[in-house]
Amino acid sequence: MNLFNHIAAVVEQHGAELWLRTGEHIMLTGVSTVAAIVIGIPLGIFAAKRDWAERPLLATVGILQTVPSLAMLALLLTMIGRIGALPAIITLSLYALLPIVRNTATGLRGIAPQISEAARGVGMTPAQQLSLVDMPLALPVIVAGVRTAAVVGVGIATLSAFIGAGGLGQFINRGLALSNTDLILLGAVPSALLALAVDGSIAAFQWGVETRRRAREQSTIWAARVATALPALILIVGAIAYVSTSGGLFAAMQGSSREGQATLRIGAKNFSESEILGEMIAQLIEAKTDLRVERRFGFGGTMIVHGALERGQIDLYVEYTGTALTTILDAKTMTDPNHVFEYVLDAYAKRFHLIWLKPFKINNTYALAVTAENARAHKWTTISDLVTEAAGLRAGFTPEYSQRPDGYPALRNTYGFAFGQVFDLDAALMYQAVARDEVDVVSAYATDGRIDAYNLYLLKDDRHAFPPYFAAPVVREAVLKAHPELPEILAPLSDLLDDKTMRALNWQVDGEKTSPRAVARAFLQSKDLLAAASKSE
Amino acid sequence: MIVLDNVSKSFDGGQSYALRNVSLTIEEGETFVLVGTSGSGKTTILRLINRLIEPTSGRITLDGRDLSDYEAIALRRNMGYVFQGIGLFPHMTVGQNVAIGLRLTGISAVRRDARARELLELVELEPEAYVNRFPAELSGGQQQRVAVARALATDPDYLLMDEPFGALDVLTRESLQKEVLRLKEKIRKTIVFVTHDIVEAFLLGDRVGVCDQGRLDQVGTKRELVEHPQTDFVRELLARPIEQLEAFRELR
Repeated sequence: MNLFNHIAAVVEQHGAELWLRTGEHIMLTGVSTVAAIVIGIPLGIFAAKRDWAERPLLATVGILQTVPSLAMLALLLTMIGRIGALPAIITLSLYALLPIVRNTATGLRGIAPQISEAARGVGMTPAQQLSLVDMPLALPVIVAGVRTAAVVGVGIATLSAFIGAGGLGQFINRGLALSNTDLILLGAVPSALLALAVDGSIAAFQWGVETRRRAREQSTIWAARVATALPALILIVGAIAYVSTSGGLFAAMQGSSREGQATLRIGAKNFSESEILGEMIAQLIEAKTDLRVERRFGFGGTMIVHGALERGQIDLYVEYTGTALTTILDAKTMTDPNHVFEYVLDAYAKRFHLIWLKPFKINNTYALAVTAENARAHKWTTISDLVTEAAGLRAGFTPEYSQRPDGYPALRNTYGFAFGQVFDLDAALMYQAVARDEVDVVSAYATDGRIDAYNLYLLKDDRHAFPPYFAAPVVREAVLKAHPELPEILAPLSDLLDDKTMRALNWQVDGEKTSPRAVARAFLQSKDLLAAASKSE
Repeated sequence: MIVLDNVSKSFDGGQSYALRNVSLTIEEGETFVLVGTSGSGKTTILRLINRLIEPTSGRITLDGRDLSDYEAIALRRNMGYVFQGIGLFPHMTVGQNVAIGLRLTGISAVRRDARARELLELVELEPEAYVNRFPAELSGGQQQRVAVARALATDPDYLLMDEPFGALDVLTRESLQKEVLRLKEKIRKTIVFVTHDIVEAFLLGDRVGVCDQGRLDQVGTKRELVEHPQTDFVRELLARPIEQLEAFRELR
């Protein structure tokens, strides 16, 4: 029964959001499936009626489906140039095309030639033949294609959260970022159930159509009618869930058109620190101003969240100076923190009309971590201390760290050594691996809560291989002009937050599974920063 | 009146001919039966008349006008067609199948239903029992009755029947043949009937045309054919039933 209580507690805690995300998920899948039907059925008809068109057409929609979903999302994001539902819906529609086009063509081609001849022979026009004979006879095959498309769509839609389109993937995304299994399941289980419901509803639709045609008893006819309406019912439920809660898909689609309202939209990337800092800023602004704060958290990458800020789909988020330097500005690596900050400050203002506020004292740079035990035994304190032994050491790096020019390559260039073995590891597994002595050295973020929790030691970057990654709020110039009080409101944070404090806060989220919102609130309260009349919750 | 004037049809751009230099006149109100083996071109003639296909060369006229002057769809709607094998639409009820031609021209559902019942009665199927059933629920013979009813629904001037009873058992076929004879008297239409069965041809036809390998060997009344067969094939075709009958007698 403990498990039940636990599930009930999790669902209760996130009930309202679960309802919204389910609605978004249904809308994403539903709208894209309907779009794919509207486009795919005519394409399928065309493929069936024109022999020369069938192969190239099916090959094209087939190739679309071989593009990895995330790559497709990212591609459309850059092509369309906005985050949110639109690129997600287009991606999902493109995926849904193949089964619908193929089944339409197959269904139509499967019609017996005698039937087609009879249709022409009784004097049907091509349009009449299509609507009265061909489509009704091919319908079961076409519906089967739609069914495949919709069920696959429910699955792929979970990835839409990476580009800020919402849906149940939002929970999974956040759960992965915070290594919180409850949240992952809160997204995964409902989306699996939704897939089953969608599958069942379309199966029922199919049965209903068949039965309604043949049924003679009134009760059967009614049952068939109800069955036929089930897919529409799911869509309606989704629409209600979605419309009844603000700030969902619709807001994402509207994007910048809401600027006029006294609302501040705060973004965050999909990891704990970004969310904690985002929460602190949100709560401070809620406490000290009359602004309504909208949280747009969980963006799946720097380019995505930066793009959203640049296009005014969010107003503010916390970025790191080093990331801005290398990822956004594509500039040469610099290691002097002041130079870096001045450079990004200047470049952002000129190029993007985005303003960097005063940085926090958090430098979430890359670091190398070893167990405290090994550090003591080998007398390792700096990275230079590893040089002589490097060839015999096993390193575990995140794939990103192995590849980024300011990661492992920078380390090799600066210190002139390479590790004997390098394993690509997921961040969560990396810390366990070093703690269990499966690898000797891991890449780490300097503010990762797991460093203290796993009793790891950070080696000093004595030759400055890694650029500084100081965290600071970046805000749109126009927003700053409209709300000049923002820097002052956020200023206290830069004095209170340092690496060690941030590690402890991160651990509360990553290790102790407290929500970023609660962690931020407790911290701000402990520093007496929410003292001014707090309005929200 | 339908006139074929030196009509040929090739499906492969002239390498082989399904029909070669066929000339034929079908008179108003007669029942004309085309008889021949499979592949002899008899169905091709029917499809040409209905403009399901176009002749490679030669000319077809209907009531004096070139067939290609007619709008194909309108032409087909004015010719009842009973197809070989499955010609009924499996997803439509018997009633819907019978009335399909009326539906195409936008006749109201009420009138369609009335006409379907009337026609079912004509082909001796109890309307109440059959109108809402599906083709798959009927026997082969019943399906063909429905097909005949459908062909008559728009009250066309011409009735084209392509081996309608070919797949049926002997007893059912016989009763349907009688049915056609009865209808013939009742509806007085020009009927073009295709069969491979010379006995059926003689039973139903006012005149008979014999097809062989894409050519029309001979056209005439029963008597003309029996008394003056013009080719070996015609002679053989006429001899076959007698041979069968004698072989059957010997068994007894």
